[in-house]
Parts: sequence; C-alpha cells; structure tokens
Amino acid sequence: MTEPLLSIDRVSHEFGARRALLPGRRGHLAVDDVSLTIGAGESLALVGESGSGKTTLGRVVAKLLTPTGGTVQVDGRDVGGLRGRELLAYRRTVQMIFQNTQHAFNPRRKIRDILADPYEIHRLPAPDGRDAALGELMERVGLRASMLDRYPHQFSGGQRQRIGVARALSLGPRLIVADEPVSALDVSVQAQVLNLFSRLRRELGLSLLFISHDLRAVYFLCERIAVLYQGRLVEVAPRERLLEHPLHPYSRRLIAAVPGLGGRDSAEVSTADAPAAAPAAGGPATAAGCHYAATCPLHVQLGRPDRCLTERPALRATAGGSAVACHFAGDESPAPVPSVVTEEVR
Amino acid sequence: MSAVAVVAATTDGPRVKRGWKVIVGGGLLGFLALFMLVGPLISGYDPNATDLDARFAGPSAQHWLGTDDLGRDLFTRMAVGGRMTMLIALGAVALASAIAIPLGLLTGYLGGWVDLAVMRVVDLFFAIPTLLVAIGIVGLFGPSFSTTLLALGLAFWPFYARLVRSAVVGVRDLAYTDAARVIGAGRWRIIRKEILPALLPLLIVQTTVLLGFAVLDEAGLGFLGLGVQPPDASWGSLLAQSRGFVLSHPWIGVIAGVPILLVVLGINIMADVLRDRLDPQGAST
Repeated sequence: MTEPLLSIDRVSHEFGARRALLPGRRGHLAVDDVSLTIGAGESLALVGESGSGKTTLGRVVAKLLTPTGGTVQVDGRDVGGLRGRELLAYRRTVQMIFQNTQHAFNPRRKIRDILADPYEIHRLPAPDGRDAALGELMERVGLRASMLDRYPHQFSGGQRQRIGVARALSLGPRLIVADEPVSALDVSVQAQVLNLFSRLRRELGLSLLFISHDLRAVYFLCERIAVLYQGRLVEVAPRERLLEHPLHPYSRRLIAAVPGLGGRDSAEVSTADAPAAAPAAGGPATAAGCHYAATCPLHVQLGRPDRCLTERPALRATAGGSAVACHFAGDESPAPVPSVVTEEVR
Repeated sequence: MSAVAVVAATTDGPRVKRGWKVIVGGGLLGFLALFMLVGPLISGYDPNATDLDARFAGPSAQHWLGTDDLGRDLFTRMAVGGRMTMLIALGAVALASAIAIPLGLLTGYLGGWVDLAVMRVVDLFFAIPTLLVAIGIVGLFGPSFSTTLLALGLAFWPFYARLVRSAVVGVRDLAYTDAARVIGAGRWRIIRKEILPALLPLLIVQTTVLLGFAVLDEAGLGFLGLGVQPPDASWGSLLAQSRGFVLSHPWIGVIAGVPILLVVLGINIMADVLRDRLDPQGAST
C-alpha cells in the first residue's frame, strides 16, 4: 500500500484533562489510543453508538480539537503544531461537514457571504469573478446560483446540507470529514445527499471520513468501516467483511440491531443480542481490561476468562482483512469467506 | 366565531401593544429632547441669572415653572440641566460600553485565565453597590461634570461585561463558529463576523436600559451633592437644591423630579420596543 493520505497515530483525547491534574477529579477519555489510516480517494466510515468518541475523533482530524495524545499526519507530516499559513494550507486539504444544518450557518448572513468566506480568507483565485465562482459552486451541489442571496433559514435541511458541502468543496480539499451529515435529514432527502457524496467522490477523487451510526448509509458510501466502542477502536474491516462477518462481539451486536442487515446470520448473533446493560455513566472505572467485557456475551460463553478483565486487547489483524481488538474473537469462527469488495480503492 | 376572534386578537395583540409603546415612549423622549434643546431659547432667561425680587415665584406666565431661592428661572434651568444630565448619561454609557464590550468578547471567547482574572475583578465590583463605587470615585477626584461621567462609567462596566461575556459563551460553541474555524477564519474574524452580529440586538437593548440607570444614578449622585456643582445645573443637582425647601415650596422638588421619571420611563419603554423588534423570539439572550 502506498503512503496513506491521512494517518491517525495512537490518538487519545481526554476532556477536562487539565482539570484532571487536580486531586479527586478525573477527565473523560473520549478517544482512547486510536490508530487509523485513510488512503487517497478512500472512504472510511466511523461507526459506533453515541458517546463512542467518533465525533471527537472527527473533530480532532478537522483540527477543531487538539488531541491530548498521539498525532495526526497528512502525507506523513505531523499536523499538530501547524500555525498561520501552514494551518490554512491544512484547512485547504481537510474540510468538515456538520451534522446540524440549522446551526452550521450564521443565520444573519446570506449564503453569498457565507460561501465567499473561503475566497476571502484563502484569497482563492476566481478567474471569472467571484460571483461566477460562487454560482458554479452552487450548481456543483445541485442548487441554483439565484439562491445565493437567500438566508440559511430559507432553505430546507437537505438544501442546507448541500450548501455545507459547497462550502467545504470551495477550498478543493482532498479529505472531507462528514460528521453524521444525513442523520438529521428526512429519509427521502438522505438518499439525495448520499448520492451527492458518492458523485463528488467519483468526480473529484475525494477521500471521506464518514461518521455515522447509520449502517445503511455507511454500506452505501464507504469501503472500510471502523467500529468504535467507548473511545476504543474495536474492529476495522472492509465493508462486506464487517457486515457479513463481524468478529468483535460488539460489532455483531451493532449489526444485529439493524433489521435488514442483521437478519442474515441471526442465529449466530442471537446470543450477542442478549440484554446488554448500558455502559456505566462516566465510562469504565479502569483502563485495564476490555471495556466491553461487562456486557460481552462471548466473555460469558467462554466462562469469564480473567484475561478480559486484566489485559487490554490489542488490535490484531485476522485472515480476511479484518483487524479486531478482542482476545478471543475470530478463534471460533469458521473459515474466512473471501471478501466481495476489493480491499482498497487506490 | 369566537375562535376567529381569539386568533385575530392573538395575532394583532403584540403589534397593537408595540404601536402604543412606540407612541408613548417616543413621544416622551421626543418631547423632553425638544424641551432641552430649544427650551432656553424660547424662555429667554439666562439659567444662572438671579433675580432676588422674584424668589420662589410659583409657576406663572413669566416663569412657566416658577423660580428657585435665588429667583433663577426653573424652566430654563431644567432644560439646561437636562442637557447636562443626558451628556453625563450618554458619556457614562459610552465609557462603560467601551470597556465592557471588548472585555466581554475577549473573556467570553478566549476563556482560560484571562476570563478567570477579569471575572474575579467583576465579582469584586458586584460585591459593592453601584452607587457606592461611583461615590468612591467621586471622593477620589472631587465632584464635577467629568468625574460624574467617569464614576458612572466605571461603576457600570462590570455588570455589562459579564452580560456580554455570557452571551458570547452562548454563541461561541454554536456549530457555525466551528464551521468558520474549519474554513480557516482566525479568532478576530470569527469575533467580528460571527459573534458580534449575533450580540448586536442584546447590545442595543442593554445600552438603552443602562442609559435609564445612568440618568437615575446621576440624579442620585447629584442629590447627595456629589454631582455637578453649582451654579451649573443638572437634574440631580436641582433635585438636591429642592431638598432644602421641600416643606415650604414643594413644587420645586416636583418639577425637578418629574422629568427624571419621564425620561427613565421613556427610555425603558423604548428598550422594550427594541427588544421586541430585534429579537422576536426573546430567547437568544
């Protein structure tokens, strides 16, 4: 594999870390030692329940948050200490799209002014004048240039999300972080926006970090899927592999929870579907062991081995292209089924 | 039938009420402004000219609002004093805003130790009544027009700064400021383009409300003899003078006091109108 566009290297983020230095206080470890890569033109999904740290990781990649541990690299270069001109260059490489379209735009500014921001800040060239550039941008996301003089609230949610895409595209990024871009939209509109993403990826060769809890959207758009649980990466695998052959007990439960997807091997996951207690508030008490052990059906099945409670499972590669962070998962699974999806799109 | 009436009433209600407020509030302020600006011209008296033959003259054709203990025309003195009071109030509010708005924006947006330090100073001011702070400053520099302005301005800023700060905190974490950061907007650009416009309605309303307080507190300082000094007149100092004759010639106190009441009433009504206009939801602050 060639050098990845983006590599996330052992990134951790703890909220309230500074406060945690005081005795008696503890921060909240939202992202815990996660490593991932995204190749040029590749689309990676980040899935997991709310509170799993997927949004935090997305914000770290978009440099809205500075991680408390680890590094993010683009083209092999650490982006941690970027300032001024170099930071602007990073902004032109990595862009972000937000979940809540209602709050993602300043309600007091016209779309024209909002979309002109990137041109002003980055002094982008507009050979045929800025108006032409903005009009072209609108048309690229399926809107009309005549809508530029409207205010954000005059658009529907789906249209606003298109404007969000236009704003990100104006800088010509190579990677877009999309934080639940469709989950606040009507189902009928979701498909349109997803199609837009898919088209733009094809036309522009964009890489995508797609954060979602909607496995169907993920299946439609992404080649690889990374599953987060309580801040830790528990499994990363090619799309087909993960959906048809999830290895980690948590991935199994997640997939079983989606009616259309989980149905096919319901027998296998029925144990995984056992009543799972909600994770304790404030996260697990110790960093040792596996976070999922307390609710893990496999743990029970294997007679509650101590190893799950004392040793943190490392991510290990398995046959079939998956990597899983579980001491035991995969050992009992049948011979790997060859993946239908090509491993990676270069 | 009744349902229609109810709907009509609820949709017309606010507009009718607002129209009434504009007329009363605007009318009051307009009338008083006219009084201050052209009053001395039409009365034809020098505000400081004494006429011992006409001491304590009641309202008459010659002296519309009567005269004081030295026979000075009260109509003229009230008009000129009103100018002084309004200048002090406007200046004090301008000074308070000039300190509070930048400070509130900075502490709210940057947070951290800057926020902590400034807000502790604000807390300190909060522990002392506004007027007491003003009195302290007057005591330091001696009573005069400019000291009164300075004293009120310095007494008002902490309250205002905290208000601005909390509003900034509310806007700072909205997704659109994140979006601006991702696009590459710097801190100043975000404050200028994203945060300040969102605060504008609040700032306009608060400035107006503060103006009312400034008029009241000027009168308070003047009443204590710490405001504008004789022979110059302000509403506060006129009120202070009237205190000596409150039993023998009570109308002087009434004449000095009522305009203060009216101007504060007018300002507060207009602040209300502005709040309704600029912030239809009434929830963003």
